[in-house]
Amino acid sequence: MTMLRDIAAELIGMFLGDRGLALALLVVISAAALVSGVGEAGSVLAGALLALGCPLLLIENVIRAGRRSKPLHTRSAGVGSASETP
Amino acid sequence: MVEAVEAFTIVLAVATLYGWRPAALGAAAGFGLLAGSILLLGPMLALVPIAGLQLTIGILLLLFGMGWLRKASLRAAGPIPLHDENAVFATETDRIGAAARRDRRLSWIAGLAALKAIVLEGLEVVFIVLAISAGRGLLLPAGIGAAAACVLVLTVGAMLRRPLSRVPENALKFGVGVMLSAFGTFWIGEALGIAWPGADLVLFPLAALFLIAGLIAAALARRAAVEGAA
Repeated sequence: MTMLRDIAAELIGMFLGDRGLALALLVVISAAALVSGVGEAGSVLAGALLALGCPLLLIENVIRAGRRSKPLHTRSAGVGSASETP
Repeated sequence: MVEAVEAFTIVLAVATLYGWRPAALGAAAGFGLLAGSILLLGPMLALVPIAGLQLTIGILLLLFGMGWLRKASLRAAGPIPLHDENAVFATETDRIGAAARRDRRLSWIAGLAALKAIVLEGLEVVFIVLAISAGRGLLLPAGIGAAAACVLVLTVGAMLRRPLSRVPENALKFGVGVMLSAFGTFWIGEALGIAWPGADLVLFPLAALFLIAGLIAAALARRAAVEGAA
């Protein structure tokens, strides 16, 4: 039973790890779905909403999370520079 | 590959305390469960209408990919610590070791721990394989690719017999998050009837947008964290 509970928690965490971000993404997708049916202009607007809205949501969410926490280390920022080796 | 590295760390902790036999048996059982779920669910997805499938898989891919991208950005920025395989290995060794001290014969519990590690870490691999291959008849190549990555990691790990802490997990997760987010956005658009400019080729600019967003987010989050601490 514990394992099944862990699997369920893992599955939920996979898609709803940050519920605020997930909810915001679903709002953007819903908005894109709404406008996509309004002719050719609606389709273009829906594409722009998805292509620009999702990356902007990511930036906003990550900055907000950064504000809420303190830095754990003082190395220079960079994805590739992150070294897991001690 | 990232998930295989994380699962291997726990399997190694089990093998160190109980020997390779229960660890290998548990890991093999875990692989069997994951492969079985792919073989079961893959053909079933082919029966779902393509528009509904694209929308569902697209939304799940976007949620999953953005989740990885968010976490990788925060790890690169500092607020979330990097995944340290050596620390995970030490923690798991302590945890499993406590059970080992209580009863040396409980090797089946060790096997179960290895199985659980493989299943929990492998769920994400199963999802990616199913999502990428769904409705496109790509189940076999996607499954073989995932299996090859797992076999490579486990083989190298078994030869080295220590946690694979040098694998740049965060950079890999960042890259995969970018790709999955781009795929998810593309598929949602396809399901909504959006005529993407350049058709499939729009995946490249979409990926570029998510990559740039992730890098900007990491840089700004780091600055925000430093200012918040000051």
